Amino acid sequence: MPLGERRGCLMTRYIAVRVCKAILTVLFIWTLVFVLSRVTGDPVDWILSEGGSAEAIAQVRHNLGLDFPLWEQYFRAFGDILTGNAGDSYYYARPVSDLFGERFIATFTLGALVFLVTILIGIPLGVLAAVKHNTILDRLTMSISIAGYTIPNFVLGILLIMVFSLYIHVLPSGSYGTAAHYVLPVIAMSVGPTASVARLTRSSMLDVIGQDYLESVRAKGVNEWVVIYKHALRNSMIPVITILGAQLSTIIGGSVIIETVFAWPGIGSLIVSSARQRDFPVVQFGVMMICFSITLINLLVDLSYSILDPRIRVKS
Amino acid sequence: MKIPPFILFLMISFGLIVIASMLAPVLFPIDLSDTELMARFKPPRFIDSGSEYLFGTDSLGRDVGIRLLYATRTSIFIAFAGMVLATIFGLIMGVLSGLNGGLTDLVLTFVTDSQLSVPTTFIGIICATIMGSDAITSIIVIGVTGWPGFARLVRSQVIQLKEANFVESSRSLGATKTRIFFEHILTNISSPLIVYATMNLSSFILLESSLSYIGLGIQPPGTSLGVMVSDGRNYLLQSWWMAIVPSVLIVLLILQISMIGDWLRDKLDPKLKNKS
Repeated sequence: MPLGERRGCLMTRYIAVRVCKAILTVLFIWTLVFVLSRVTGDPVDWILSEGGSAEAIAQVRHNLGLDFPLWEQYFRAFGDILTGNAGDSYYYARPVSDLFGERFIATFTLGALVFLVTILIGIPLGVLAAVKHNTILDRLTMSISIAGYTIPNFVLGILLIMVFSLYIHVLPSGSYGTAAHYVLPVIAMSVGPTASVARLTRSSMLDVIGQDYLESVRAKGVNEWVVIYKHALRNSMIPVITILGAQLSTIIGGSVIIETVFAWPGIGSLIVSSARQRDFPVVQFGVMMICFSITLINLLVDLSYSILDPRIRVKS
Repeated sequence: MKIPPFILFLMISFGLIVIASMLAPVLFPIDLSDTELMARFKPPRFIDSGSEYLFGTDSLGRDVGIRLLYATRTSIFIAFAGMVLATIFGLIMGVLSGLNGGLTDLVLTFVTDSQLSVPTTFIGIICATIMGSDAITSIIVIGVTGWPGFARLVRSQVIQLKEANFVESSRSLGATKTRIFFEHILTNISSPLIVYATMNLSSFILLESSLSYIGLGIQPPGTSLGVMVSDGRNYLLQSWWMAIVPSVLIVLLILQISMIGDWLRDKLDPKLKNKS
């Protein structure tokens, strides 16, 4: 087989394997959610925790699709979630998909901003720390990054609210609307991920910076910044991209907490308040949506590796 | 083994916090649901030196200092119990998949991978919705979210060990599988396992306090560090100590545990350094 064809074949196989794995992951998590919710007792018991008439119980059973055999429930509920037709919320008495539709923009803009900040500050900070290795700048960056993983995001959020909205009155303490509302939640959410990305970029850059090929580029008389940004950074990006995928999952997980701290009208705070009410359709839909998006992101990350580093697609 | 003074200081201070919080019911036998509405929002001693409360009182007139001990006790207990659960489960899964290989290995690797792709807070949320929010649920959530990391670590260690010469020679002398497991494998993976468990204890404390902060962990009148921060959230202006004192303690605990963990790792198992 000619080399070009062989390579194309490997690539197709690599993509096929990854896609299958992603589908299996989603199915596995759905199975887990389904089994957990059915094994721990009759969902009707905790939905109608005060007890109800036989009629009400039958109604709830019907709404939840509990009057079908188990295997049919499994596929039916999964299909409903896929098509966005996930029933009504018990607490809000409205279709679950409407609730999510209204809140999606608030969560998406917040998450996207945090991700942008993480990349735009985390990577340059890590590069700077690596280039100025063992100077005050390096130590300072690393101390900030220790603070980033020891201070929980909700504690940071509360500190920011106390200082900037209650004592200095420059920024709003919560809710949503203007650009000013974004400032504190974005800071509170991005410190942790930024710190991890900076730490990893630094150590990955330090691994590359000592290598000989950079010396030969320098010997050709190439400008130092070009050496760093074009030759060193590109080669140290693989582990950084891995951690960026993981950080997205951290950001999505953190949004639940930060949205609660800042009374942000997004998906995260909806899921948390629904979990407190034990409003199962909302939580189930939310968790599955999050699971879909994270699996999709991980798939894209995996595929982007193979573009960045051809060695990977051949190995697996 | 020589312990540097700073680490020794961290260990002693962490030990003191643990001992004091475990002794809370003996030192200050109170009923957590008791309130004293005449003594609401009394300032702590570092603001008003004449105050009779070291860390002030909260919105229901309860002593923040005493509640802090009870809260720390709950948080540490839940994180520790969850860690034990995660370690045991991860150990069993890791050994099974490392020793057997083949299909078992493939399935377990897949399960750990998929589980790592769901954010821990969401596992907490779904468990709280299904099982209700309480201490047991929090412990289970920590166990469920924590075990894949342990399983991965154990699996990679077991795969290395089972090919090692000393295991091979023991096998050729006729040692049984159980004997090889207890005598060689378990003793050799215990030190990386302890290091990994210590390093993860701080993230378990974080998970527990986050869950109880959003109201899906310990329920009032019970208390944990996250519950106290969440109680104080609404009184930041008039009595900021309600939220800040427990927050400082959370940060302090995480800092102590992770620094002790890092030191242990460098001492006992330098190989782990790049994995964290």
